[in-house]
Amino acid sequence: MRPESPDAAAARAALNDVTAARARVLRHVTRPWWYHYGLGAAVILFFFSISFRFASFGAPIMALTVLGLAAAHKRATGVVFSTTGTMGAKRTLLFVGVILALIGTAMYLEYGRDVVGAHAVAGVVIGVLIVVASYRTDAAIRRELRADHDQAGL
Amino acid sequence: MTKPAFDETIHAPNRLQICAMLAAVESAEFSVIRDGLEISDSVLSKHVKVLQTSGYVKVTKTSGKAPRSTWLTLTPAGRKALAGHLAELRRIADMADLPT
Repeated sequence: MRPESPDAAAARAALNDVTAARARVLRHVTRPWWYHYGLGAAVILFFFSISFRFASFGAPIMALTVLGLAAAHKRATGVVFSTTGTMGAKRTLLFVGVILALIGTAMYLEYGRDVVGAHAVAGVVIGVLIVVASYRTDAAIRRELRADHDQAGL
Repeated sequence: MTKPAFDETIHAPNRLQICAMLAAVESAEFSVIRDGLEISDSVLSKHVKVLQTSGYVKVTKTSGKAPRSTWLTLTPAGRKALAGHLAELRRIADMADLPT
């Protein structure tokens, strides 16, 4: 039997239910604090490993940490959400540009000028930037999903 | 602009909310949707089965050493159907606001 189309009041009630349902799932759209700081710590460790010559351990540890954090976050929150495009093209370009500039400067200082620990210092700055960007990305995703014009999340 | 289209499968209140919750994320664990809607496993399973049969929801079960979990994803067809259904609901709701 074909259900009848709802009247205006029923349609409004259904739309309100949709908004409420989305709000309930939005509570899960946040990465725990340990995800942000773990990511930053993994990056810092990687750059320390370059400066202090244990990159053969640092790189795999960073890769495993990132994969482990992603899996742990998925289990902890029960949702998977996309973060691509959240920062916007300009901000992403700026962010990547700053990271590359820091890496370039560190390489120049450490390999060109024999400044030991330049990568480690750059790593600390990059790690902090990644933690900040990670938090900001979460906030931007929640803002985007709450926006009225995106009521269906599509 | 999505074309308004009433969808019989999505119209049921629980199924509409399941689709709305899944539309907000890439995928969600079965328990997140169940707890969000405050319904039992069996009721959610029944609705998911209907949505799965219509090709609106994809069900993935994880395997391995960790406890098994079931993940639900709204398919592109499901997103399209939900968008059309919501557009239709808005159209109906807006019609009542028009001066007669």
